Amino acid sequence: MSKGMAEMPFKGKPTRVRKGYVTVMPALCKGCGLCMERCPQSCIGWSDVLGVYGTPSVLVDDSRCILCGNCELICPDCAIAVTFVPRPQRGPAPLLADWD
Amino acid sequence: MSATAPGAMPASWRVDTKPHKFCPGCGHGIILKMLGRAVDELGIGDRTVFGCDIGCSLLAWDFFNLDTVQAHHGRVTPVLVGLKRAESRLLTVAYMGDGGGYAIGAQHLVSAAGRNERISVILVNNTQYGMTGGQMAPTTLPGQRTETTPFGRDVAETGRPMQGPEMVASLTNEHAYVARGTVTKPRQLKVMIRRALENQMLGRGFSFVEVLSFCPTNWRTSAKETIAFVDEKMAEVFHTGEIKVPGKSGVGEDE
Repeated sequence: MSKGMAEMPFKGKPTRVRKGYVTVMPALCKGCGLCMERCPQSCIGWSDVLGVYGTPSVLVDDSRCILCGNCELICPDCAIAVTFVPRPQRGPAPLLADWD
Repeated sequence: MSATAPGAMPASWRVDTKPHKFCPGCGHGIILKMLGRAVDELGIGDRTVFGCDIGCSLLAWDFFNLDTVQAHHGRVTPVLVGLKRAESRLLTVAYMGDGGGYAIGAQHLVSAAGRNERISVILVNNTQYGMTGGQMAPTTLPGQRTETTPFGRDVAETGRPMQGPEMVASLTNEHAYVARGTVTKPRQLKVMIRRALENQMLGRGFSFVEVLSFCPTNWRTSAKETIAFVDEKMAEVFHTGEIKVPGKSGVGEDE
């Protein structure tokens, strides 16, 4: 493990969406636009925040994102991370045998 | 996913060298991400040696938390063959472009495949020489415009694009794993890279994965046109899928 790993140098701002959140890290984003093409909801647009090469980084529309993860998969720079937060698990339903 | 690596980065990536040196939208990042995830899943980061060739692929020299060696142009295959023969415990991944594998290094690729050396080769095919500015390569598509073919590649004069995995499949014996993936299907690509590494871990034989990749800088394409070029134009000439799987007979394509 290198020193950089523990320090978490690429701070991103998580965007809260339904069932999870999406984090864009402008310090990694080179503005190639591949994520926009792969988004099935077309919910990624250009941001006012500049990326590492001085090109615009991307912004996720929190109302339309479905957390499919296509943007995370195609991003060559790992500048976008999709986190799915599962609902808290309820206990298992009682078995029919327990009712007797 | 590791808790320490930021975001979606594989744990085997070296974080202090990121953002990496590749152009915006380059396919190398996607391939190396899938290689990193395959290495993480197999848990072989402590005994994997990553070898890169000359060309754009050499920009990956400080990419991983793995032992890395960088060889002369086209010579990464024999360097890693030597390493593997000297220390068979190691897992060697040769990473090269189409220039390093099919042009200057074709002799080494052919010889290593013919001898069924127990190494894994990942070859990135972006239809031209990326680092020197987009000249014609053996894999340039018929009619494709490059710096040295301004009126499109003339098939009568310069031949058809080279079918690398088919060539390797015909050279190797039944213990080899040969496949062609594409960066537009990263999950399938990860499975292919993983199988190539597993084939080496089992000591069966030569593993070869060609990957169809993006080069928006030299193709001069937008993101939309880049994906369309790989999925439509390149897919017509280069058919993706597993060409040779150990233990399976016959040649199959995906889906």
